[in-house]
Amino acid sequence: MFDIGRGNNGEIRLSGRLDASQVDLVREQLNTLKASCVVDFEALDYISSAGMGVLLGAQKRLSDGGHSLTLVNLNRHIREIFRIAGFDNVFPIK
Amino acid sequence: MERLFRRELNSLGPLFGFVGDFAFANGLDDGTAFTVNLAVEEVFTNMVKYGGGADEVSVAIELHGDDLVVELVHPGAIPFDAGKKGKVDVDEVLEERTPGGLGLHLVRNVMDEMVYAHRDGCARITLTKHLGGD
Repeated sequence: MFDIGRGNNGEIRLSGRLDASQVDLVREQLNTLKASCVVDFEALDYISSAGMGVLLGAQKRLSDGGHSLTLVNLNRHIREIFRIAGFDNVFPIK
Repeated sequence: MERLFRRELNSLGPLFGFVGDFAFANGLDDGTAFTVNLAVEEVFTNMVKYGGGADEVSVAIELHGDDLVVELVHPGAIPFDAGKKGKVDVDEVLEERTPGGLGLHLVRNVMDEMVYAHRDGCARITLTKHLGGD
């Protein structure tokens, strides 16, 4: 089960399991962004390379306009695979 | 445990259930279950996207002593050299990064062994994770 929505402060909130069958939902939401945004992973249990690739694409697009995604509240397993992927070099992670 | 899964992304839910049942039955910790789910998804998704061949993929998961072994078998798949896939430069700056190869890069790093073979007309990928103590 996966869900994506907006929090009270405009942040994007991901929850559940973000696998390759769910990435279109995320891409659609991220494509609406025109400025920097926080993506809250607090309720996200799992992500694979498909979801990471969509986040990377959004980060590249936003950076062209001087904006960025900031990722917050990653669980330790997700944080570890982001480190393995070198994503800690391309995203601010808090 | 062994089961056939239709070669489509909608099979990922049942595939996670299959791995979860195995993890629960064998008392695997959260980190190991996460790792195995990730590796299985990455390999299975590659078979869905690029493999051609049969409509079903067989997934078997077993414990051999302290080794957790997962084998995915895809009949009729197009042979490819897994050794040349998944080379990722994690130090590249954002502008140069692409998502290509990331899945197999993750698999190689979270599992202890990934062996690809193509025999009897089937692609076979065997993933091994050493469990237990150091």
